[in-house]
Amino acid sequence: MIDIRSITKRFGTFTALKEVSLSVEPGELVALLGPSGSGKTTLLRIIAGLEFPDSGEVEFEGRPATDLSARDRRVGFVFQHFALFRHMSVADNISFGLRVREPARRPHKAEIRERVDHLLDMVQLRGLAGRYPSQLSGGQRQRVALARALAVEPRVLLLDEPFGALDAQVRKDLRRWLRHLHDDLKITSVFVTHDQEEAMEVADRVVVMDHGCIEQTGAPKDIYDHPASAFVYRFLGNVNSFPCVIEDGWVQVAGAELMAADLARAGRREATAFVRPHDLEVVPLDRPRRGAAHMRHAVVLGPMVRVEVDLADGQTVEAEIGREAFDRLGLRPHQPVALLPRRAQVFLDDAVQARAVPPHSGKGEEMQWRPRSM
Amino acid sequence: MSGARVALWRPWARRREALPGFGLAMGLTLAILCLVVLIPLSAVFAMSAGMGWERFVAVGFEPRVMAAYRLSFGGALLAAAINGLAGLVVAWVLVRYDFPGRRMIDAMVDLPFALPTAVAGIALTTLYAPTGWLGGLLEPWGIKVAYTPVGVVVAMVFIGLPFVVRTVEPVLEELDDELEEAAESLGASRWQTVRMVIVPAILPALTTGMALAFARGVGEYGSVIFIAGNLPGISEIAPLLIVTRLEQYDTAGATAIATVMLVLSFVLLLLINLLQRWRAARHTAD
Repeated sequence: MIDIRSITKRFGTFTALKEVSLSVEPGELVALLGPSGSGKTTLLRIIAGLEFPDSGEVEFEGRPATDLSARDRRVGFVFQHFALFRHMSVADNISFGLRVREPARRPHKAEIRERVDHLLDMVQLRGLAGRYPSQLSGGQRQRVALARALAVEPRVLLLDEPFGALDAQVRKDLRRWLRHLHDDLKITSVFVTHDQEEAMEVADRVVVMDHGCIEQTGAPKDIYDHPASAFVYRFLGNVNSFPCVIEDGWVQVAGAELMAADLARAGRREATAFVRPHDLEVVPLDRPRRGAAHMRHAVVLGPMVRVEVDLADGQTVEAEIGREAFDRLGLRPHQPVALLPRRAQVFLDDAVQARAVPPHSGKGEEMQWRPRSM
Repeated sequence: MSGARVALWRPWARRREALPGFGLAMGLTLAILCLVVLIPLSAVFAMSAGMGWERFVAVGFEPRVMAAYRLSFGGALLAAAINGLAGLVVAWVLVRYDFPGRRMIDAMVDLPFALPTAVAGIALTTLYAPTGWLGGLLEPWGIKVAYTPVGVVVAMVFIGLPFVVRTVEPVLEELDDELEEAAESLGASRWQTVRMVIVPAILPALTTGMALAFARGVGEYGSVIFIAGNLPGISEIAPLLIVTRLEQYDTAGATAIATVMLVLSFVLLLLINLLQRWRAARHTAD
């Protein structure tokens, strides 16, 4: 449906995109995920024809579209800040794309009204046709913007941080709703976001970008389970990183010895170990030990508790444990604790990675602290 | 508790305001308005009221005076309309394009503000007189500018232009690029985008600028009288007629004309204001 081949785009001395290639299949919902400055919005705008690449090709349905203007591309674009026409009613906003058509292709008034009503139903704003954008809430405005983009029956729907300007709750509702809408309409869609949760929840396929390059492409689960690089691992959700040295597969992470079997023959190397907060167990110690970590404070987040722990070397790490376990452990601030990573992902500096887990034989005394019920 | 304490030393304050100093600021505002605007204007009414209705009508609406009203208000309206277009183009160029000399042009826009109006009048007259650079070029085509109503409009356009440019410019600057991009991606041509998206968005500012230019045109004296030639009934503006009456020690006649101009101007500006209010209410009402 959309083929992008080795696109490069510079703004002055800043290179926004470096030789980026991407294909989007018909009916797919793709998320471009990355931090700000990663080039994701530039890529989206190049697909839309609002920006033109310095080199590289864009194809729509197998036909070259690189030089087509936004006007001729038949794409629907939804902006982060809605970009509604403030002096037009909701109905006039939605029908704008139909009304600007040349007379021969312009639908009749009655037909336009019918289309507008249909779209209003679809975005659940029936009865608000006569309102002006200033009279709507943020979520309603964004749905009007979406209806406006869909009114022209675009080949592709492009959304630039569509939920970025909305409240947390509205945002959650709207992205679930967008997912359902996409399931109904099956329109090829690309949306930009910096929120990994949003990308994971909404998209069929996630494209992770950084510094103008695509770091990884894949289904949300695959990306989460098999991140291609340290950047992707770090970007997809909270993570604690520990600089460490790996020797014959053995690595010390937060005071615990872990074994990375895949790296058993790698010799002695500098590495970084990543541990997700939910993979980190916190075990209270009866009395202070040399090199022990200390509990800093705990934040209750519904069923989970986020525990912040100060390591002996000053680093602060985050652990997430269940509410029940937290109550049972009776953790208090300043209490000496031991950390026990259930698993860590170890990245060598040349992007070689391996999973490290506690050894099965209980040879370290750490193993004895492990609460049985978890 | 604190509310009661406030009431002790400031008995007129019913509740605490977030922004203090309302009383003082409002008092100053009213005093300034009274001294500078209201009292002189009511003096005009008082003086013309003393002359009796019939005399007022006879002096204030005689044919020569009527022709002057027509020229002053008609000319100012036409000039405001021309300025609306021209000012929009100038503001557009200044905001949208970056070119060498942009700052020069930007500064030049304000010149009609700064120039003594008589200087402007003399310059325009020299330029447009049949012997002048432009007047000489227009003469073979049978177009006469100086000493005709056309000249009056030219002078009014000259002094009104900065009002439109300076009111439209900031609004145009703040206009979101995304609006135009949205219009383009929805298939609108450049012209459709300008007509359906940009102009409606800046229309309130444009009407304000045009109203200011109009008001200035109606009241303008110095730059107009030189180029107008001041032929009674043809190219004589109402403010000049007031001065003429005053020079003849006909204070009553002068105030009668002044009163009519005042009422007409007020009604027109009020209409423009109401129109704006109505537009704004339509788009932002809750």
